[in-house]
Amino acid sequence: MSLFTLGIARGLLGQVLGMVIGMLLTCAVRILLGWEAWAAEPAWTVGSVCSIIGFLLGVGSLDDWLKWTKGVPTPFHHGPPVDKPAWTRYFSVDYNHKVIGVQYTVWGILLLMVGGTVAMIFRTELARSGLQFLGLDLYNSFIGMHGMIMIFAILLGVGGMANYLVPLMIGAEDMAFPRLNALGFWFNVPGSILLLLSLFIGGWDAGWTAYPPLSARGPIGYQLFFLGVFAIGLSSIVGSLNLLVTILRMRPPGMSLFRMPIFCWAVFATSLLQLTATQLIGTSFLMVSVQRALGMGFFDPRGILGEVSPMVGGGDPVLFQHLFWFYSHPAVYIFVLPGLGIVSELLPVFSRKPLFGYKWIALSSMAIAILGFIVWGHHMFVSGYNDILRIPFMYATLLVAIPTGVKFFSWLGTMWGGKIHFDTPMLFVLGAISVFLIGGLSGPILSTVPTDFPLHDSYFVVGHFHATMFGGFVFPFFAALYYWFPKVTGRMYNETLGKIHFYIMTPAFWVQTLGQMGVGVMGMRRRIADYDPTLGGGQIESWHMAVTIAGFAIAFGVMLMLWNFFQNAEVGAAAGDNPWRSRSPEWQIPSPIPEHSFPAPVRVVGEPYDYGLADSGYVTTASPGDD
Amino acid sequence: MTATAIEHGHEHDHAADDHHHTGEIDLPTYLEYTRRNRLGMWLFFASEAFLFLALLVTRFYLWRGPHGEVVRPELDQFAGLVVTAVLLLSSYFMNRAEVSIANDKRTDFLASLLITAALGTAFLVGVVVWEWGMFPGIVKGHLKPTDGVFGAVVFGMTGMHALHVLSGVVLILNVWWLGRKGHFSSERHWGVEACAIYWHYVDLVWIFFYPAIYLIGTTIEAPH
Amino acid sequence: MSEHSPTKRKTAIYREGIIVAITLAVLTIVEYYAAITPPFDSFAILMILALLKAILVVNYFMHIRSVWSEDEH
Repeated sequence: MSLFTLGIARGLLGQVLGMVIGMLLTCAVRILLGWEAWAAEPAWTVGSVCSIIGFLLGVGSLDDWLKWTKGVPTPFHHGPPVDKPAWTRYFSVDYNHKVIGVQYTVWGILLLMVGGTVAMIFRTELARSGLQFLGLDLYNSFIGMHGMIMIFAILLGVGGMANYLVPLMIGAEDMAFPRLNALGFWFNVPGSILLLLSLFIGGWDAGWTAYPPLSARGPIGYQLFFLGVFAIGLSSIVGSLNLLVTILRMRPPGMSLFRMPIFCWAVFATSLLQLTATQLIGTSFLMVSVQRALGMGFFDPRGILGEVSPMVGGGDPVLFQHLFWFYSHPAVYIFVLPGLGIVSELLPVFSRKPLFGYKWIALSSMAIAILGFIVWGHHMFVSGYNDILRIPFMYATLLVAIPTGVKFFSWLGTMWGGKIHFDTPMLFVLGAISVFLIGGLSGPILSTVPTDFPLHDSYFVVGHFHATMFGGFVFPFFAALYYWFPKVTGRMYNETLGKIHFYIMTPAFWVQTLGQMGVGVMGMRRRIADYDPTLGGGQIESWHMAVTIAGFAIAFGVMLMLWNFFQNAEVGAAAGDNPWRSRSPEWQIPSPIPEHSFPAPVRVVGEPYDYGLADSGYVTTASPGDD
Repeated sequence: MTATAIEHGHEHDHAADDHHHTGEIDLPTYLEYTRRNRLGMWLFFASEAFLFLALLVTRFYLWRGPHGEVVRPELDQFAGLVVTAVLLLSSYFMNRAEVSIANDKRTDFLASLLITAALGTAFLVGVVVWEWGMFPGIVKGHLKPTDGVFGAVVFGMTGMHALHVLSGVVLILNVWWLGRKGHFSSERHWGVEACAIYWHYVDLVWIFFYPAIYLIGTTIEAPH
Repeated sequence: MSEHSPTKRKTAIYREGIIVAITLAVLTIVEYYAAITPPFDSFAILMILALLKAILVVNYFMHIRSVWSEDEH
C-alpha cells in the first residue's frame, strides 16, 4: 500500500503543488504586466489560495461535485473502502458522519495540543519578569497564534461533537448533506496548515484580533492567517448549514422540537450564529487583505489630517472593530453553547432525574444566540466610538446573564435530590459548572462601563475569558470525550486515571484563572512580554509563577487523558451498549456503532429525560408491527 | 441526477443502495431530498446576506461628508442604469427557463438559459469595462481602487457582486450543457431550480447595491 | 388552479413572470427619477423602493414559500 492511498497525503501534496502553481501564476501575470517578476506578498497570497484548492482536489473531497458538473452519477459507497485497510477511511474522504465526527475531534485535539504548547512557551517566559528567551516579535506572534489555534481547535471540537452526536440523537441515518459534511471537515486541514505556516514567513504580531492599522502594515504572515481563517470560516458555514437542515428536516416521527435531546437545541442555536456571523469576520479580514494587496483604503484614515475628502482617504479602523466583533462576540457563544448543552445533557443521566425546566434551557440557548448579535460593542468601550453607544451595549451585555442564570438554576434543580453518580464525565460536568461560574461572575464586571475602563486590556480580561472557555468548552468537551468514548470505541477508559486527570486539572485551572485575574488587577497588561516586578507590592512575579505552574499542571492532566484514551481504545474492558444507562437513542444501539446506525427507523414514544420514571421510554427502533 | 452546489443525502432504506448504482431514486425520495436541498440553499442565502449587509454597512459608515451627511462618488449614471436593466432582464429569462423545464418545453428552456448567461456576461462586461475602466483604451473609468474610501467601497461592493455573477454564469452554462444532454425533466429539475434561485439572489443583492452605490446621498466630485 | 386546464395554467405562469419583470422595470425607473428629484431622493424612500423590488423577486422569482410548503415541488 503506497502512502498516497491516504487522502490526506494526496491532499498535502496537492497543497504544495497548489502553492507552487499559484506562485508561478503570480510571477507570470506580473511579467506580462511588465512588473518585476517576484513580489513576496502577492505570490504567497495567490499561492495560499491555490494551495487550499490544491488540497481539496488532492484529498478528493471535490470529486463527486466535479462528476456532477459532467452529469456523471455518483453512487453512495457505505462502509470502509473496499481495497484498503479499514483504518484508512479516517485519513481519507469519508461520508459517514461518525467518521467525520472522529476526524473533527482528533484534528481538534491535535490543534489543542499545538495551541497549548505555544501557551506553555510564553507562560514560561512570563514566569519571571524581564526577557528570558523569547524576542518581542516572536512573543507577539505566539500569543496571537495561541489565540487563533485555540479558536480553530474549539470550532473543530464543536464540529466533532455536533457531527457525531446530532444525527445519532435525532435517530437519523446521517447528516442531510454528507458530501458537504466531508468538505466542511477537509477545509480545516489546509486552513490550519496555512496558519502554522504563517509563523515561518514573518508571523503576525498584532494579536489574533488583527486590528488595523497594525495588521495592515504587519508582516506577510497576515495574508496566510486571513486565508486560514477563511478556510475555517467556510467550514463553519457549511457545517452549520448542514446541521440546521439535519435538525429541521430529519427528525423521526414523534420528535417535536421540544422533544429533541437538549444538546440538539444547543447545536441549533450555535449553528444559527455560525451560519450568519462567520461572514463578518471573513468580510473584515478580506477588507484588510485587499487593503494590503490592492491599496483599497477601507481602514486607512489618511486624509483626515489634510483635506477631508473620501477620494483620498476617509477610512476608519473603528469600522473594522465593529465588523470584527460582530462575529467574534457571537463566536464565544458558538464555543460555549454546545458545551453548556453537554452539561445539560449529562446531568440528568448522572443524577438519575429529569432535566429541570427543559423548555427553559432550550429557549435560553436561543436567547443567548439572539442576544449575542447585539452586544459586540462591549469589546469597544475604549475604542473611541460614540459615547452614547456604550449604554445600550452595556445593558444588552448584562442581559446575557439572565438566560445564563436560567441554565445554572436548571442545573442545580436537576441535581437537587438526585442520586448522583460521580463518574469521570460527571466530575467534569461539575468542574465545568464551577469554572463557568467564575467566568460568568467576572463577566458583569467587564461589561459595566465604569469598571471596564481600568480593567480593559488587562490580564483580568484574560482570566475571565479563559474561565468562560474552560467552563463553556474545555471541561464539557472533556466530559463528552469520557462519556462517549465507550460508545465510539466500545471500550471503557481507565476510571482511576480519569479521576486523577480531573483532580489535577480543576484546582490547577482555578489557580490559573484567578491568578490571571489577580495579576490583571495588579496592573498586568495583556499581550505584553515583560512586566514590572514591583507591581502588586512586589508580589506579581510569584503570582505569575503560580499561573505558569498551574498551566503546566493542566497540560499534564490533558496528556494523562490522551494516554488513557490511547491505551484503552483497542484493549480496554468491553464497555457494553449502555454503561451510563442513558435514554438517548445512540445508547440503545451497539457499541461501537455499526455502519448503518439504526437497524430500523426510530420512533419517539416518550419524553427524553424521564429518568427514574418506571416503564417510560424515549425512543424505540422496533417497527410498529413488532409490538 | 443533478449538478448543483447542494447535494443529496443518503437514504435511510439500505435497499435503496441498489437504485443508487443506476443513478436513479424514486420520486418521493427525490422530492424529500429537494426539500432538504432547498432549505440548505436558503440557509446559504441567509449566510451570504450577512456578507452583503456588511458591505452595505461599510458603505454607509464610510461615505460621509464633512458634516456627517451621506455622500456618494460621481459615477456614470447611464452605465449604472444599463447594467441594472440588463441584470433585471436576465432574471426574467432565468424565471422563464425554470417555468419552461417545469412544463417540459425543452427548446424554450435551453434558449432562455443561454439568453440569461449572455445577459449575465453583458452585465460583467458592463461593470468591468465601463464602470471599472479596466481597459482605459475603450472606456476611461471614474475611480481607481486606491481612490480613498470611494474607490475601496465601489470596487469592494461591485467586485464581490461581480464574483457572484461570474459564478452564476458558470453555473447557468453548466446547467445548460447538462440540459442539452437531456438531464432534467419536469418532475426532477432541482439543479435548474438551484441555479435559478441563485441567479435571482444575485439580482436581489444588486437591487440593494444599485441605489446604495449610485443613487443615495449627494455627490462629491473628484478633485482634478 | 385545479379547475384550469394545464395550458391555461402554463400561460398564467408565463404571464406572471412578464408582469413581475415589467413591475420591476417600472420601479427601477421610479427609483432613478426619485434619486434625481430632490424631495424624493431620501435614503428611506430609495430603500423602501428597493425593498419592494426585493419582495417581488423573493416571492415570485425565488418562490420562497416552497421552503415551508410541503405540496409544491
